[in-house]
Amino acid sequence: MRAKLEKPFLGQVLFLISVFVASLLFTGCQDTDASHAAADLETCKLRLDEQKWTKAIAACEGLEGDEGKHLTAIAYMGRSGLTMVTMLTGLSDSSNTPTTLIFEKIPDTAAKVSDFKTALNKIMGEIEVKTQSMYLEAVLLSSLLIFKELKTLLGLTLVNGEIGTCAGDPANIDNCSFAPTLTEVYNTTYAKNVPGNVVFSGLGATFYQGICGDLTSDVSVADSTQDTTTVVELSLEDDPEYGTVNVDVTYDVTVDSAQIGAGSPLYYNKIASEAYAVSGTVDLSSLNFYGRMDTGTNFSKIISPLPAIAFCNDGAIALPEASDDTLNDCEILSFLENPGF
Amino acid sequence: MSKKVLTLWISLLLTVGVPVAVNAIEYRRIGQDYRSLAMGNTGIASANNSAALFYNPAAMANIFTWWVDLPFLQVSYSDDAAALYDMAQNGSFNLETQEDQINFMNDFIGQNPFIKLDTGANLFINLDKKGLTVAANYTYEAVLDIEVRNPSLPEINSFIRLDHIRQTGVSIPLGLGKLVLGVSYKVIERQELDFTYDLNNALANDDFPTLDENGVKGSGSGYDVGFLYRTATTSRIMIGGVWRKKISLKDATDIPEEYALGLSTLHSYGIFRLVTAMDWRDITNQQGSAGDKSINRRLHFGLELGILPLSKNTSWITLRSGYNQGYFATQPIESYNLGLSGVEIALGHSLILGYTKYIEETGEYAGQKPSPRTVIYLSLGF
Repeated sequence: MRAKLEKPFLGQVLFLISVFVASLLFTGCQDTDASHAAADLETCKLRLDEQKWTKAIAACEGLEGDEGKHLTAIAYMGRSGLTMVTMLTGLSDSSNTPTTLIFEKIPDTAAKVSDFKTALNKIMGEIEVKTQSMYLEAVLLSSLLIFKELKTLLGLTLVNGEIGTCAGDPANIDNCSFAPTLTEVYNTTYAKNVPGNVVFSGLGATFYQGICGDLTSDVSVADSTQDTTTVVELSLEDDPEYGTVNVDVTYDVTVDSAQIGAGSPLYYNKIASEAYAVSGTVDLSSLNFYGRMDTGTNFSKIISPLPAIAFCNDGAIALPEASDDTLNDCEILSFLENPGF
Repeated sequence: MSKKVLTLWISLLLTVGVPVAVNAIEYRRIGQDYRSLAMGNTGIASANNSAALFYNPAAMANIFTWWVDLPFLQVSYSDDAAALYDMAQNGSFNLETQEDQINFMNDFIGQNPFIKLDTGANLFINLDKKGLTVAANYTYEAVLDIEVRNPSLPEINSFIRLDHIRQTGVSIPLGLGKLVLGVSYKVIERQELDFTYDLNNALANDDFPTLDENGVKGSGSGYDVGFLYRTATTSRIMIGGVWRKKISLKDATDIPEEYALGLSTLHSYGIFRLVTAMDWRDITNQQGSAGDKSINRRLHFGLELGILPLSKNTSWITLRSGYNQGYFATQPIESYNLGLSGVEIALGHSLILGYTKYIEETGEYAGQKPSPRTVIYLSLGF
């Protein structure tokens, strides 16, 4: 038995069409904004994919979770021209050295420094579970911030793929404006030149603020001043003419020192370098600045045939110690003699 | 590197289709067919072809004859996949130097090549014009969804899925056939791989994941229960509804439970036949990410104009348009105009050729991340 059709009903048809059109009008065509966390995250990713960095920062900032914070860091890096793909492919080429490769990325404006600091702080200070990629990024970011201070201090230049310093080639730190001096004087007792005056005015607070200061606050830089005449016993046992002698050395020295802040570029450089070295795919040992700065090596100068005169003696100025998370000028001067680039 | 590794990586990307792990979630439903997609992916009430089992078993009552597809073949691909194919064909990409490779990756960031292949056979036997129809379906569906993201450290997110679907169902008219109940039972075997591979992996010479070695498998069964209420008017108003039981697939991604409602009308004007359809899919918000309650993303609207009807189900030529998940099929997307969303030419059931353009939402809400796609369909049968 067939169902019997009811009579045509124009109003019914019009009603249906009206429902159809009204449905479109009332529901709207599209949603206007994200309504849940995953949508916010996706918006952030889309802006990143478009490489619209400022919009990406706006979309990513405030995202919860490690992924969101990492994406925010990427946005800040991107805004200041740092992308890992360029760095990584360069680093993976054995003909490149990490230091020369990142030299051109050294931040040259306050805005870039701020972006890199923010990115580094996001990665190392906020992300709870870090991946190797994140450690890699942290090594590079911290190195760039440290490099920026070194560039200022040492007047770094890149010529023919080689990084030059104020020390020149061959390196002699005496060529740098901040170089300490050790003046020798003629000693009539021994009829010989002996160390006389040690003069050094310190590397200054700015350098330490840049590498040891927390990313969000300044670090306290201490000045230790020694302005005394110190009797230094020097052994010349190998020289039958003199044997063991005592010489007077006058110190006019100001040595700056600073505790490495737990949120500083150098501290993050230490943590990230150690973590990345475990299983990293690229050799970044040359960017482990912490490992080559906090060595406890005391800067000294030699006046032949006398042995070295240390600039930090055990008097008014504390001797540097390795891996104590404290830096002073004596350690840094030693580092600057052989910075490794 | 690793130029070699990088080249290999990009080559894999191009040839194997290594995609990105899909962080945002597309609603991945099995068996979505060219006709429904052209009509905004409606079909809860309006399905009337051999894909009806995937939409609403009760909608099989809209099939009034035998219908055998042996085989059917449907290929879906995104515009980005087509662009990639064109690049490969005309040699416009050059991977000789590392700069070329990096430039290529940068250009590729944010693109989303998507390819899906459906093939198999359908059998529908209508036993009673009031809507008693039994059916069986055998489908292989393969999905490859690639996305390259993160311009800072490019990563390839890949989603690969192989489904083997067998299902059978019946629609049973009650009384004079105004109300039809339908039930279908399906068995699914699924193998899939969802991974992210980034530049660090490439530099470390990590092996590229493969479906065989790294994929997960699962199988399960479930059933759909649906209804179709048909008014005996000339406008042939139909209201349909379906409940799909969740199908657990062990290690593979489960198929979520779904409640859906649909409304459809059919008008005949001489040699023309007009179908309108509206669906509200996933009413209980089981699809997508946690918190995704976008109604716009779950609404579907469709229009179909059949010219020179051959039967109650097919016309010589059929034109379609639709509104899917917030996108009109003809909506320009950054100077891209899809035009009509669907065209079909049919010689009864012997030969059906279908061509569909539609836009799929691949983000988190309607309007966030459109993926323009094309579907080409061919079936031979009787």
